[in-house]
Amino acid sequence: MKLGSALPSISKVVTQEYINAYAEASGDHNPLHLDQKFAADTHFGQIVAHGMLVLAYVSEMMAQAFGRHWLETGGLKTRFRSPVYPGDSVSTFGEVVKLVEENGDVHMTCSVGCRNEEGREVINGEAWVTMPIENGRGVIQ
Amino acid sequence: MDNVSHITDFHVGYEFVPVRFQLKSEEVDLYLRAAGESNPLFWQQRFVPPAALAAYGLRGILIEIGLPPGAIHSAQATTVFRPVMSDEIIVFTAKLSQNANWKGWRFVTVDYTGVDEDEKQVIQGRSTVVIPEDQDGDSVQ
Repeated sequence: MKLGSALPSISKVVTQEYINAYAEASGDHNPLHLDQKFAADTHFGQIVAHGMLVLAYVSEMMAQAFGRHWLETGGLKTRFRSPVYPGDSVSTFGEVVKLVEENGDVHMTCSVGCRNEEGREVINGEAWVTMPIENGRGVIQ
Repeated sequence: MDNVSHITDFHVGYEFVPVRFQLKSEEVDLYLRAAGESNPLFWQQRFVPPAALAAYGLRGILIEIGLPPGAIHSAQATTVFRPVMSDEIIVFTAKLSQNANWKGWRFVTVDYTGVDEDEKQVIQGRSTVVIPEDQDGDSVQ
């Protein structure tokens, strides 16, 4: 584990089926995400995926990288920079940008986000997690 | 009363009606399928993804605002303090920290906290949604 280590990227294709399923699961039935006719008349011109669905991929990356520590001490602060449309392929990214050791723990800050297939960052921000130093060693490959 | 005049009625500092909910296993399963999440932390150990917890809590809180259909998420911050299990009961409280118009968009920011049945904090965060407005300050439907 060191500064600059990359987190394991998660890649997804955001289909309308996943968007519909997320609407069902989250209770967010905003027609911007579900109704092509409604969405066509909006600023976006077409259906847009829920931001929280795409953010879930970033959280998935953090859970994969840090396991239970992510659920115990994790946090993130992100902005939704660009819309994700049905059919878009997106991939998460993450990099360790700060490490602070304190009282046997290591506080790790990562630059994180998600890019679409054109390389545009659709979400970006930072995430952080704390874990015992001995657990922190070797978490990032 | 239309949606935007309802939203503008909420002043910064307004405390939303607390939302009490139980994330049942089957609901978490729906979320995991929608997000394409396969981590055994969630499927086998039955932890709830932090992003799911935030999404469910915010759903309840934002109902009170009555967001119009074109609203979309623009920023999200979340910090967790311990893992939350499926079927736990969580109470979300929230306060409005921004309700402002900027260049034809209304920015609504909510600061939220989730506690367990022992009133111990399990999550906190901040969520911002943006709503398109016309020149009169009304929401675009």
